[in-house]
Amino acid sequence: MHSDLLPNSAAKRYLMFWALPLVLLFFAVLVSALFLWRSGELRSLESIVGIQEEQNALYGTAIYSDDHPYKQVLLLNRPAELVMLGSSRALPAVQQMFRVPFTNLGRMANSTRHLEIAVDDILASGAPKIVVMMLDFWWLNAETYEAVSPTDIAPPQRLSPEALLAPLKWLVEGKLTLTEVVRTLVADDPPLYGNVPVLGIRGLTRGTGFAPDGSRSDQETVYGRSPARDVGFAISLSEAFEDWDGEQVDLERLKRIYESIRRLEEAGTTVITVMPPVAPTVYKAMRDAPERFATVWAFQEFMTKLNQHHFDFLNPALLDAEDCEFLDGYHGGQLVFARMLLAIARAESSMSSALDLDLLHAMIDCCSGRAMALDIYRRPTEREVDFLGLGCPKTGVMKSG
Amino acid sequence: MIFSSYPFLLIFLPVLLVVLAALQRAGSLSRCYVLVIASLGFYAWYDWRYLALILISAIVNFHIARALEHRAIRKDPGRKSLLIGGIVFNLGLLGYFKYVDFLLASVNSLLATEFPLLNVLLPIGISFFTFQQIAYLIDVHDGTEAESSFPMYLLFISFFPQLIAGPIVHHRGFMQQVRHGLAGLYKAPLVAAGVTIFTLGLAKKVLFADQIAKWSTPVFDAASQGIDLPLLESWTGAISYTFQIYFDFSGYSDMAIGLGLIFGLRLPINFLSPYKAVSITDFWRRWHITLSSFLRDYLYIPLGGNKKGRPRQYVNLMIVMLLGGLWHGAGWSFVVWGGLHGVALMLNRAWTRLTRFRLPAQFSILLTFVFVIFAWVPFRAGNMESAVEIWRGMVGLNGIALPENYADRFGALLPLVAGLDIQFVDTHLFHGVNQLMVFAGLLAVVWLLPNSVKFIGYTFEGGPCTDRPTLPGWRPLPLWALGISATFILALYYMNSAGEFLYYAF
Repeated sequence: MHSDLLPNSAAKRYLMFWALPLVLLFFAVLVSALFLWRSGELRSLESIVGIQEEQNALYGTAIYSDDHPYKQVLLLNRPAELVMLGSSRALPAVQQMFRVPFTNLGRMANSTRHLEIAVDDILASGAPKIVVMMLDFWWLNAETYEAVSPTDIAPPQRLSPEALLAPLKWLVEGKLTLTEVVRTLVADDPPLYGNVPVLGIRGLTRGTGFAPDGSRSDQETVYGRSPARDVGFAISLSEAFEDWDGEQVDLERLKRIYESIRRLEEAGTTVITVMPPVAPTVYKAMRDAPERFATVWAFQEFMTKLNQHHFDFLNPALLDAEDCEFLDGYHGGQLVFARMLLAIARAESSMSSALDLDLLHAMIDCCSGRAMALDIYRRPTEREVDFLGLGCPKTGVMKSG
Repeated sequence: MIFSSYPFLLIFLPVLLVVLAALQRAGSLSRCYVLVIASLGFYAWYDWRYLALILISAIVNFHIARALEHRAIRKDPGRKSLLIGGIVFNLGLLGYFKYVDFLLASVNSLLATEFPLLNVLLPIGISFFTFQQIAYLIDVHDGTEAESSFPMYLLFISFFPQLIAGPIVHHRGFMQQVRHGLAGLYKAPLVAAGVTIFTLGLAKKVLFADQIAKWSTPVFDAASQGIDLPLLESWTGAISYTFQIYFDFSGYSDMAIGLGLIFGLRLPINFLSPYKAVSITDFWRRWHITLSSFLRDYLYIPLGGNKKGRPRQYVNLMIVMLLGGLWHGAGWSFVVWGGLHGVALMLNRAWTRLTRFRLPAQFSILLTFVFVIFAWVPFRAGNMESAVEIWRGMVGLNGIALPENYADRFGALLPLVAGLDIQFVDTHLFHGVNQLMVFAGLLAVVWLLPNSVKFIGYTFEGGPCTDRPTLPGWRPLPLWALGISATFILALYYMNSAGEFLYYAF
């Protein structure tokens, strides 16, 4: 082998040059680790929830997929009389809308299988008085994905090689700037986005994340910090539309919903089921292709028979909700939630006493046509923009928001 | 823990390197102990229960070898029985852990019985360390000196660079180096060559094999669901897997040799540009060389090799290849793969014997390559139903389909194309012209570039190294060092999705 014949000095010089970039990489990884630590990404979820509660901080991770374990910790550490359970479509409901202690469990129930697990978690933490269960219209569609991966629900390993390399990758890809890294390394603990204490890199760089009550608002899009994705509902009417249509109903899933409701009721909880609305434009498109959404219409019919405390708002006209009040075709904003909650309060006395009805009315009076009204994390200079590109005027500001 | 993983590269390897660096001036025995402990730790990482198995296997074989040696001195006629006992022990272990469920399932299927499967845990690398120890026992029986130190023997069995997927190491060559105090001893020229060849292997695995797997896996998954695959999709799966396993095994073999060099030990060459083979016989001199040698020396020749007439030679070839197939996996599809290669070897021998006509080298290479692609199908498919599904597609029995967006490209020729019964479908299995260009690029890599060991100038006991280099070889220059280092970092960057080595399954 000719490498045996190499002079030792040449080989050593070769190894030195080989090692040089790796040593640099090592120091880069070290800085990356420091950045992760300073940004709060390496903290335990218990510590994160504690800091959020103390300092009203936002938690927006860019590294982990930890929605479920985060909400589990929230359930255990934030006793609530009323919880809102659902997918991302449940996230805009915030504590200010309620007079009783409230926790938002949005993103904990993304399918009927997730729902079962979330109900286990709720019961394990002590059943609340009221659970508002937000059902997604595609849940009974046999073609939609139901499986729950163990990584969806288990707490992620906080310090992993993937996590260590992630900030370096983002620097290379331009998703993170050197200034942001340096600013974080020398910032207070926790660092701030504007005046808002934040934990997690997404919080640091975009000012977005879970609030202490578990709610989450898409500030990035709403205030134009990042380019909007669903301009003119283009994605909602194409990709998403394709994902959720279907003709085959999976009745097993309906049984899971029924069983989840029954278990909560047995524990003394009032379960209010809600089918939240889609944007008027999307609803019209769904209605124009009724055969494609056969599972949705079936789901609506089943639910009215399944739960006496059921509210079907899929048709946004029932709430007078406008396109402009949506974050995208499927996610209503806070105004849509105000309308939903008021409609529920009219029929459910338990809810009317739990809600801050005056505030909800004030939201509608001042801010119809907007997605957000109660955002304490908005920068004072920021205003809601026409992020859907629909020509929405976005006028009015809540005094408290 | 696989070589292309963060725990191995960022924790296990640096820690071991540092510990051994501290022991460079200490006795060679201490370095050996560290390597043994590290190797057993590496093995136990998969499942601690494996550790008990490899230790029991090593202890039993070590003592059988010692007994064989003692009896050789006394010229004890019972030596052969002891050897047979040792082989039965090893094959029994392998048979139980790897084949018992296959056997039960086959009996149930053939005789309509309902013997419950035992669901035995398959210890990783068992096929490799079992064969290594069988060869050792036979060598000791035939007069090789048995190893007298158990820790040294354990290092021979468990040396982590070759423990999981080979190469199958011969005792003599390996222990000579260990006895010379080379294990764990850093020699700058060897370490320089080692890190280079290791990096090339890592790049092959992460940047090539794991990326190509994203094309092959969906096709084989679709076949396993009984989906009729059209011509181009089927070929996409078969060709992708052909490249995937090439870069996977080539990458692993490079990394094993590279790690061996870093730790002062040379391992045998196991992979030598097999897709450049001009015949199937040549292919088996280049693919998994140490397994081929083992099967030749310990099975084919004892069966009589080519010394007992032509028909017997063909039978011997077929037996060797069928068992070679079964060694790769407990399933009939592996037996079929071995059988196909057996038939090809017989045809190749017969052709060579019966005619003086020789095909042009380039055509021979192409013919061999196409056969190898066809043969990989059952190997990857895991069951014959899926394999037949893909074969049907490859010969056009499921028609031809092109991506939907290609319809526009034919312009006025579209009616003609439609007349040929070509469908335009929404496919995610065949990726069009871009994919064909990638295949062409990969083909250029495997056919035109020198293999890594030739590139570095590595030899092992005069092992075969016959390809003429088509590029200037590696030199220990700073620019090369920076390039190799950059490749290493690139591989680290893309390593998130790195899958296990395919040969780990065997």
